[in-house]
Amino acid sequence: MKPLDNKRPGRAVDQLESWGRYPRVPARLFRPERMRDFHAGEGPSLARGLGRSYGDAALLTDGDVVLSERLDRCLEFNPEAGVLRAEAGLSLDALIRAFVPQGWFVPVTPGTAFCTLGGCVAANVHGKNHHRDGSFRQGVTSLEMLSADGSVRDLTPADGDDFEFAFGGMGLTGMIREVELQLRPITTSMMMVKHSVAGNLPELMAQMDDEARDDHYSVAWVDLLARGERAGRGVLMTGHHAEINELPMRYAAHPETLLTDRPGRARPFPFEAPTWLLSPGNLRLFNSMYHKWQGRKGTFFTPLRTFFHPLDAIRNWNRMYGKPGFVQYQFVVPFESGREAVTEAISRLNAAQASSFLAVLKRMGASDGGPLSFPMPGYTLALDIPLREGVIDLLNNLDALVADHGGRVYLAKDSALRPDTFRRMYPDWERFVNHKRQVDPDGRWQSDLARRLELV
Amino acid sequence: MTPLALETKGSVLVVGATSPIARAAAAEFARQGYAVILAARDKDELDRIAADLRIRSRVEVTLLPYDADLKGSGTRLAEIALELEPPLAGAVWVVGDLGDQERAQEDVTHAKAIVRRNFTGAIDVFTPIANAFEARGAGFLIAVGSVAGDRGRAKNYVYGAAKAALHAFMSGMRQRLDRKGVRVRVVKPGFVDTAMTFAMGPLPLLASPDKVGQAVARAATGKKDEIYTPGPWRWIMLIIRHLPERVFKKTNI
Repeated sequence: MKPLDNKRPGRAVDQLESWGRYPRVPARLFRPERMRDFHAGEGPSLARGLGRSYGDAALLTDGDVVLSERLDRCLEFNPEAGVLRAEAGLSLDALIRAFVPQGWFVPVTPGTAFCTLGGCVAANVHGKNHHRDGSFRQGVTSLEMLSADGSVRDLTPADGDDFEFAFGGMGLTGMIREVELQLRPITTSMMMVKHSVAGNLPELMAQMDDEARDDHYSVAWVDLLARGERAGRGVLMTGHHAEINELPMRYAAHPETLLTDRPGRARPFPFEAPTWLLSPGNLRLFNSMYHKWQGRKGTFFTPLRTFFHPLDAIRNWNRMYGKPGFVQYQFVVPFESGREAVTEAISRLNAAQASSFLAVLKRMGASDGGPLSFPMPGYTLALDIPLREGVIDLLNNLDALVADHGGRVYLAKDSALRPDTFRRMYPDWERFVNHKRQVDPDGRWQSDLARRLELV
Repeated sequence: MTPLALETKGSVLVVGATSPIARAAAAEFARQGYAVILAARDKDELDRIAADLRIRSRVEVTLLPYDADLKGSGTRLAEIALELEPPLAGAVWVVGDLGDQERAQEDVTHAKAIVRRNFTGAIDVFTPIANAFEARGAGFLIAVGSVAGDRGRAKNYVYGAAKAALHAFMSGMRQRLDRKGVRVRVVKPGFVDTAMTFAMGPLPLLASPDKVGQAVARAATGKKDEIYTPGPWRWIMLIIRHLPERVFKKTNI
């Protein structure tokens, strides 16, 4: 029934923030519970999933932000083929919960499961299997999109740019209503993982490039604080979905537990941390211990959730960086200049004492999706930087370095890039802007990111 | 899609099935092994929710139309639901509409619509089902009421009055039917995080619709006749109910 009181005013908030908690902007929030109410507001509008992008990609100052989280229904599922059609607000967390027991996993997952299908398309997210399987785009067979003119279109790869530009389109080409996804078959919910230690960056990269060591999933943790000969030391973590016959007998003895999802109870980060907690001394100590501890593990079995989404076990871990918030900086540089660029970036970060203990290095495979899609062949490095004075200058300085090496930064994590540097990083930007003008001539879909990068 | 186990616990009729609370309740009933019958007016939403339940909960779902504003809709719904297989084990009334109190003060038609959607509609649906359950000597009836029905407040007394009537109706049926083996329950949520409250901004003791929906489904088997959810509302409402009228009328609670 239509509610008797049909004026749903939305909720005005002063400080809408995303995962990095910087920036914070005023906006009007809407949270439709029926698909027909999932549309633009009166003025500039933006669809937002679970707000797990870091910077301003899901923010719209003084605009209408439409939350998709209540539109999370699974609509069609073919249990033979593993093809799922669901509403854009479905989270990977809910998807994994429902489908792992049935023997299916998401084709690509970022480091958190608290993101929506719509958000995964908009940012064309990648995971630890990017070097083999590509980005989220590769798993998607069809999209339903609400265009700026109010029409609803079912899009497939045959629709060319209308389909492709949604991937990495940051929600600026239309509102994604439904996503059809090819799931990945699994026979167990365990991962077979191998950790190997590398004493410095060249060694780590060599291990990563070594095909004999490679596996379906691969990522490296890097100690950015180690200096001298140990600079860039790290642990390469590779793995694949364990097959039943790979598991030790103690697992096989209980076949009913082979496909289970144990997300565990997420523990909250208890307080907004004081800034001294992440002092360089403390971080160096942590990294030393972590390097030893992780390196010692060798080959082992671990549940899916622990392998893919370790930080999801701590709700609000973003509070660890205290009140000012933080930025996550992620860039990719082509293989040719990769070592040089990564080394230089690390040394600039160290010189600025922009401490970070979560630095992740990975090889990326082929590009796909639209012109603003992030992944491209090369090395990608991601790290957290607590927000302090001078951080934005440091980021702009790093942006220039990345652009000089023919690389780019990840827009879903960005909050500092300038339009001129952006254009150097994404040379096809003009195709995107032209497409946007064509499908959204009045600039209905906007975001603070789009405004900052002069895309609208 | 998924073959139903031969032994089912019967089916549960969820009226007002497109609300987030109803959706969570239906999923919980499915988890307990019931087939579900979903009734609502919004066909598109009903289809989406049914598809989701079939896929995620792997349950048999039947859809029926229901519109509290249409005369005879509730009686017809009850008749059809009673004839379906597997046999009806319980019925849940989740229909509710806060309406617009200020408008209801000017416009009697609006006030009556609020009463129909929160209370009189339930009479149409529950009466035939209650009689069938009485004859059979088994079954459960659950209504989602509200803490707003515990005391009339200036902010929403038409809604509150309708909910209070619903509570009294259920209480009377309970006294009549409990001895016949029919369980009659009322779940009284406080603030629930749905479209009804979203624009109000942060609210105290805000419950997720999933939690409330689970409480609704668990009320069928639980021992309590009246369930406040979240629990602390029982004590808050105890105090509010016992405030003397001469004090209460001067407050802005």
